[in-house]
Amino acid sequence: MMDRACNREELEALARGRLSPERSEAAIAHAAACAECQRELSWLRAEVELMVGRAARELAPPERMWLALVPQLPRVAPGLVAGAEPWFRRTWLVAVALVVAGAVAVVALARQRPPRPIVTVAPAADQPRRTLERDVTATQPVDGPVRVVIETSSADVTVVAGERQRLKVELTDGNGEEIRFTPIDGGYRVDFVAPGVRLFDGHGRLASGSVRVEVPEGSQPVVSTTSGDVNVQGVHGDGKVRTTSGDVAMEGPRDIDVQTTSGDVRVTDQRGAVARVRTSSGDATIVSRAAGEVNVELDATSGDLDWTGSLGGRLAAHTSSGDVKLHLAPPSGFELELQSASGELHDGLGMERLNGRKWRFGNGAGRAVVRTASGDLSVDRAEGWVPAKERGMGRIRIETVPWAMVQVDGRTPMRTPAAIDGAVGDRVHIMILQSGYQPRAVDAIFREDDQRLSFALEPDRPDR
Amino acid sequence: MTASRSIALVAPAEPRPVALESVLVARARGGDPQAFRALFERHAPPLRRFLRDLLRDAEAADEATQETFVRAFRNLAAVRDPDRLAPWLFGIARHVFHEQLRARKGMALPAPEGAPEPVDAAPTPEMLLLHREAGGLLERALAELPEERRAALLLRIDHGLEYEEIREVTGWSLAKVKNEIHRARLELRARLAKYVGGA
Repeated sequence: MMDRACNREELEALARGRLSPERSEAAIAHAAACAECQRELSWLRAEVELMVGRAARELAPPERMWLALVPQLPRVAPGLVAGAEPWFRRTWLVAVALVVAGAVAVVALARQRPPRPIVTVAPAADQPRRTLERDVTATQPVDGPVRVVIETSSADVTVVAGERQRLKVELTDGNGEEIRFTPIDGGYRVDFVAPGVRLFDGHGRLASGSVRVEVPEGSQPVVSTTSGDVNVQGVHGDGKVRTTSGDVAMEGPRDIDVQTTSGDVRVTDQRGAVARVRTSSGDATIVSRAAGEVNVELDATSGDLDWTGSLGGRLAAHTSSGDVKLHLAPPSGFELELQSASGELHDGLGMERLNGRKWRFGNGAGRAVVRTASGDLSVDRAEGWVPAKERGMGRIRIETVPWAMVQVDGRTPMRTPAAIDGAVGDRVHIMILQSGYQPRAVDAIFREDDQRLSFALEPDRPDR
Repeated sequence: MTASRSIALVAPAEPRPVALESVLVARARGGDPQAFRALFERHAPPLRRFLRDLLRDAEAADEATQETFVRAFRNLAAVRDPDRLAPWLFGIARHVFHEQLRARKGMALPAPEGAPEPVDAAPTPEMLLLHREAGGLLERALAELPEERRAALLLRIDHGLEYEEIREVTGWSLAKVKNEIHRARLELRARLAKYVGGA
């Protein structure tokens, strides 16, 4: 039974990351000494992780849901606010007009649109709207990086970085579709409206042609296709991609969330720490340049998983028959667990064996779990890896308020001022603790020169 | 190691600016269609998932989501705390769910899919996470919970509502909210452990 010091709600807040650093430390310390709380915390963390994964897999509602919602509103929403513009009524009348007008409804709607439209129609800025053109261009002014949602069926989608003040969409070899920009939270959805009336039947999934989208650097593309390939180059923002058979190529993204069924995934120069890639029969290759604190989830059935990067955070890779290859760069330090029915480990790194299925490398700060049925796991040095002893040593000096304690990589705390030494390129996690002040935690990387890190601690504040 | 210089720290990601809920609600009350659209974009995914979890029928959940928004937009003037729209919307969604349930009287909700293969004899939460079908196991375990209990649990662990907010959604006492969620958790874990461990 949990004793009086056990607090289930506090553990739940801890698992959700909603607890202050001080209370987090106290709760963690308590859980470490209390088997009941430790198990409860494990369950709560599993719960959070499963729920986060579940929400991450949720796609945005289809456009048809909103479009179907709009004509229903006037029947129940006359006079929404006393004296307010009767927007719903007029939209409803437009919707009725659409049904009556049949094939000319799209054009009719654009012309009869109320002063504040539901969607922003943005035909090419430099050419008149010609709905039967096979090549169409449209632009939309923006204030900087935005979220851009694009859905196609078999059309390929390429997203590149362009001007900072506009979105530009080029449709090549289409079937006369009109390009529309619909405002969404944080950006725009790009819709492709075919000639004729398809406004309320889930239009927007382009069946042919190819799409090139220019976005401000740092934008967040969200692309979904069936068989179309997706190529995101140099955007340097978070990216979310879903395809069935289309291949996915991304260069220089921050955090990524990619799912395909049979498409291959190739990500190079990833700058964000978070990667979630799920494929069934496709292969996935990810090259990360994030340093250390990565959070990587790779999942395949028969596809191979290949990840290159610095591992000091969390990596989980699951396959059935596919192989897993990890190419590790400094500063890497982790414990690795392999669970496999018949797969084998090929260790090119010289890891320390802890038990039958666990190995340790470096400071052991990260955690990698690989689960396969028959697939093999190979771990080796990334191309260009230089062993620590050949990299030289660096020093970090830590200064802060008097008598504070500094803890490096979870080791025994020491008094400040303190100096720590390490191989150039290695990463350390530094935590500063002093009663009456809020703890500070930073990650730092050893360099060839002597570095000084000064902390100004904040006095304690209430928990929330 | 001669020169001194300040250290390069790893900067956290910059938060994306997001319009305040109360601003969107005020604009929507004024008839701004883009504000309605923004509220829909923000709340439709979790509401749709919640209704799908309750109804276990994607099409019916989409209908119920639309109906939820129709009612919400109609009654937007009645929102007491525009900064806490989610509990109010979940309350409407739960009401819509009950209406759909009554309309289907006599019709069983779709049964969860077949039982997965047990893989281990000593299940732990970590092993659950490692299970490649963890997502599917979770869906099945959730589907087997009683509807009201499932709703309360999901409002807490999936949608992050506070106990007091769940009390508002359900109309239960605070004690009952906590009790139902606690029981739901225990049931969920027992089912998950059974699937993973075959116990």
